[in-house]
Amino acid sequence: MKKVLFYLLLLVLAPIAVLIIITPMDSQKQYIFGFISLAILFLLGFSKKHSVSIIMMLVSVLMSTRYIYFRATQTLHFNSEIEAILGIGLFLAELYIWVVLLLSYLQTAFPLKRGIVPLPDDTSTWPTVDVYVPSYNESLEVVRDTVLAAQCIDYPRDKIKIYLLDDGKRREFAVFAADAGVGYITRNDNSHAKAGNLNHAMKLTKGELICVFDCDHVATRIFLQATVGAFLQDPKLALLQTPHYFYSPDPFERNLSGGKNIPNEGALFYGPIQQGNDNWNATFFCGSCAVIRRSALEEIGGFAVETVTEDAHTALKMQRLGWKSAFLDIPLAAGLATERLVLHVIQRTRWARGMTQIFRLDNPLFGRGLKWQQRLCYLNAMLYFQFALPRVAFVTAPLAYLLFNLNIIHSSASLIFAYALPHLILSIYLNSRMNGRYRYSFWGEIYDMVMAFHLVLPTAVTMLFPKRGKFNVTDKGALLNVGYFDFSVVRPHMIVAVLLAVAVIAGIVRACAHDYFGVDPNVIALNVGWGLYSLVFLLAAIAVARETRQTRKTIRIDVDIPVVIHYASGISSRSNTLDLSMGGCRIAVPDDRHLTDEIEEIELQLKSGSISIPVQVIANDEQAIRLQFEEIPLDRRRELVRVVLARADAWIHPPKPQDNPFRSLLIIIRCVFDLFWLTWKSRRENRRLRQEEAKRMESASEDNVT
Amino acid sequence: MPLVCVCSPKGGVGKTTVTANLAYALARAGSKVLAIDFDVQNALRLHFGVPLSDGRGYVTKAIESADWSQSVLTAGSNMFVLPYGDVTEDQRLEFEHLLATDSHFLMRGLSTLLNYPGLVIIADFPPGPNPALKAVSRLADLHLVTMLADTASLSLLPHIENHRLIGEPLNNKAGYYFVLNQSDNRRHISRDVTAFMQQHLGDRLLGVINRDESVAEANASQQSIFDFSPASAAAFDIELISKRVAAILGIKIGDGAVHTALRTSNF
Repeated sequence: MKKVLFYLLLLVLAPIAVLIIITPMDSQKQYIFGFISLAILFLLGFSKKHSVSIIMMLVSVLMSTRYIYFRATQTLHFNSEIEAILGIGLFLAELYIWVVLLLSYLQTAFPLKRGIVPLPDDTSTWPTVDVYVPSYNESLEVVRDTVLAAQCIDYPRDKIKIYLLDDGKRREFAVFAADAGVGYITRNDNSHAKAGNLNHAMKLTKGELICVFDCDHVATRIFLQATVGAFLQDPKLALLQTPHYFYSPDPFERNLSGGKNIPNEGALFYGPIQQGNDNWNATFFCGSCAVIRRSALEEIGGFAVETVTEDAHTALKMQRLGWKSAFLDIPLAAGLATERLVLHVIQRTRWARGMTQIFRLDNPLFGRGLKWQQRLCYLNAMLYFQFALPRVAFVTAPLAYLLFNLNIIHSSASLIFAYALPHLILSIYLNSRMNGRYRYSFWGEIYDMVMAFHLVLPTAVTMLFPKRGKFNVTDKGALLNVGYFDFSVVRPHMIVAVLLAVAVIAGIVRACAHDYFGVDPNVIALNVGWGLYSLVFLLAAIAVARETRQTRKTIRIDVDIPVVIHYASGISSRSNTLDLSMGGCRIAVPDDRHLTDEIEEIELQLKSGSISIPVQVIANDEQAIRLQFEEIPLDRRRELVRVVLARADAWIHPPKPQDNPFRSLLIIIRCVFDLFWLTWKSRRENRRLRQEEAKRMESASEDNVT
Repeated sequence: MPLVCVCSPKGGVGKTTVTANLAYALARAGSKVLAIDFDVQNALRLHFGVPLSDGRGYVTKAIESADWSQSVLTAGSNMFVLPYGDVTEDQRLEFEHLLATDSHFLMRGLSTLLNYPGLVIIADFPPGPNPALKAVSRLADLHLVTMLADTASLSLLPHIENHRLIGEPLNNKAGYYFVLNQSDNRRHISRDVTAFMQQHLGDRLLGVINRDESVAEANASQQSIFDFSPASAAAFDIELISKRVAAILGIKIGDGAVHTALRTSNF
C-alpha cells in the first residue's frame, strides 16, 4: 500500500519536476528563480531534520539537472572543430559529475546507523573464528603488534584461532609465530597475491567466521564481541565491515599546515558512504578489519582473484548470491596511514585500477542477483574512480579561453553563472549539511586533485584492457627522517599551475584593455575566477608534496598506571605513569633518587598482572622522568599491547565540529600561503646552515695554517 | 584493644620488620600502637630507636610482677614498644614454662594493656611453633602469617592450613591472613610464587610487599620506611596492608575517641 502511494506521488510530482528542469529562462529570471530557491532552502536549513535534508536533496537534484539540461540544449554550439571537441569534452565531464552527484545522493540519503548486536550469554553458541593476518613484505616490527593485539581479543580461547599468513616465507616470521603461539601459514607460490594468500589459508583452517586484519591493523579487544553478534542474529549476513582507522597522520594531515584538525580523508567513506551503502545492503569489503562468513565465501569459491581489488569484488560476488553485508561505524582497529604522498598515489592507483577492472569484468549494472539500489551503490564506487579525466578537463578548461581564445561554452557569462550558481551552491551546501562532520567542504577537491593527473592513464588503460596489471603492495611502517619536496609526484600539477597562473595574468591584462582586445570582460571574469579556483586547489595539492619530517611513530596515551621503579641499588619506589606508549613512558617523579641512582627496570601494575620492563632514562625534569623501553619479551609486550593499543575505546574520539564552507575554504587558502612561506623559511634556514658550515670549515683551515 | 599476631612457620621472612613497619603505618594513621616482642632475639626494639645497650624488657620482671605494662617504652608519638629484654637461659625457660602451664599468666600480664581503649597491639613471635604464640593466639583478634615469595614458603603453606603451627586453628575471631614479603616480579620464581599465592589464597592474602632495598636501609638508619623513603614501593605496600588490617579489625579513626596517656618509662 505504502509503495503504491509512493509511486502515485512520484507520478504527480514527475511533471512538476520536468517543468522545473526544462523551462527556459533568460538570465535575469533565472537569477531570480535561483535566488528564491536558495533563500527558501537556507530558511529550511534552520531545521536539522533528516526529512528536510531529503527535500533539499530533491531540490538540489532538480537544480543540477536543470543546469545540465541547459548545458545540453543551449550551450553546445561551436564555431570550430577544436572548440567542439573541447566543448563536448567539458560537457561530458560535467555530465559525469552530475551522474556521480545523483548516485552519491542516493547512496548517502538514508545512512544506516547500526549498533552492536550483543552475543548470547552462553558462549558455547558462539561461532568459531579464524583471524587472518596476511603479510607479504612488511617488517616484523609492524606485524608483531598486530598479532599480539589479535591474541588480546576477548573471545573464548577454544573458539578463536589466529594465523599469520606470510607470503614472504620469512624465517623470522615463522619463529615469531611459534614464539607467540599463533598459526603460521605460507605457500609455495604467491599467485593472486593477497586474495590467493587468504584462499590458501581458507583451505587449511576451519573457523565458521573469517576475520581479516591487514598486517598493520591493530585490533581492539572487543573486536569480535562487537561484530560476531550480527552473524548470529542474521544467518544470511556474509560480511561485516568496520572502519579503517589510522593512528598515524596521512600525507594530507602531515604536510598541509591546516590539515591537523580536518576529518581525515577516509572519514567520509568509513562514515556516511558505507552507512548509506549499508542501508541499501550494499556495504562492500575493504580488505581488512572485517568479519566474513566462511560458507558465503565458499559459495563464491573464495576471495575473488580476478581483479587487484579483491575486497570489493568479493563482496559483490557474495551479494549477487543473495548474501547480506553490513557496516558497523565503530573504529575497532587502527593501522598506519600511508607515510608519503607517493605511496598514497600508488595505493589509490591500485584501487582505481581494481574498481575499473570490476566495472569491466563484472559490471554491477548487469548480471543476476542484485536489487537496483545495490547496483547503483556499487556502480558509484566504481564510477568514483573515473574522476581523473573529468577533473583534468575542469582544471584546464579556463586555459582554452584565456590563452587560446576558444569559446567552449556557447552562452553569455551571466546566463552560465545564473544556471551554474544554484547548482554549485546547493551541492556544496547540502554536502556540508549532510556530511559536514566527516568531510569539510572543498577538501575532496584537494584529494581528487592530487590523484587526478596520475589516474588518467591507469584508468584509461584498464578500461580498455581490464585483464592487465598485477597487485602491488602498499609500503607501511617506514619513518621519514628528513623533510623534502617530492617534485616527481606533483610535476604535472606544477606545469598546469604555471599555465593557469599565466592564463590568469593574461586574462586580467586582456580584461583591463578589453576594448583593445575586443573581448567581453564578463567572460574573462568568469574564466579568471574559474582559473583562480582551480589554481588554489592545484597549489594545495602541490603543498601536500612538501613532505614534512615524521617524528613520532608510536601512539602515546595519557594513562595513569601505578608503577614500581627498580633502581640499580635494589631500592624500589612507587610512582605512576603520565603517559604510555609501546616504546616508553613518562612517570611522575617520586623523589630525587633518580638523580643519583640508575633506573634499571620499571614494573607496570596492570589489571592483568604486573609486567616489568628494562628501561633507559631519556630525560627528566622536575615533574617527570621519560623512560624508553628496551627489549621487551613477547609475553610482556602482549600485555603492553593490551593496555596501549587494544583498549575497547582506544580509537573512539569525539566527532569533529560541523563544517563551515567559508572557514574550510579559508583554511585551504592558508595552506597554500604556508606552502610558499614555509618553503621560503626552510630555504633560508638551509642557507644559513650552509653558510655556518662554510665559515666553520674556513676557520678550521685557517687554524691549520697558523 | 585489638591484638594482632605476626607469625610464620619459617625464620628470616621479615616478621620483625613487618611488625615494626605495620606499627608505624597504623600509628601514622592516628592509632595508638604497641609492639610487643615475644622473640628472645629482642630485635624489635631496634626498629623503634631503642639503643642496643638498653637491655630492659618485660620478661625478667614477668616472673615477679603480674602487670607487664610497666616495661612499656615510648617510641615516638602514638608508638610504644614492649621489648623482650636481655634474659638468661633460665629466665627464658621459666617464662616459657609459665606461658605453657599457667593459662592466666599471659592474661594477667597483658590485661592492663588489653583493656586500654583504642590501643592496637601488634605482637612479634619467634619462627615456627612456640609456647608464646600458642598462648597469645587465644587472645588474638587477627593473625598475619608472613611468607616469602619463594618455594620454601610455598612448601609450608599446607603446614599452616593443617593447623600445625599451634596444633589448633590459629584464630577464632577475625581469622588468619597471609602477607607475602619480598616479592620481586623481575625474578621468575618470585613472580610465579606470587602469582600462585594470589590465586590460591585469594582474599586471605592480605598483601604483597615488594622486595625493596629501602627496607634494609631504613632498618640500618633506625627509621621507619615511611620516614626513610615515602615513595618506596615497600612503604606503599605496607601502608596498604595496614589499611586492610584496620578495616578487618574495625579500627576507626576520627570518631572522637579521647586517648588517655599510657604509663610508660622512657629510654
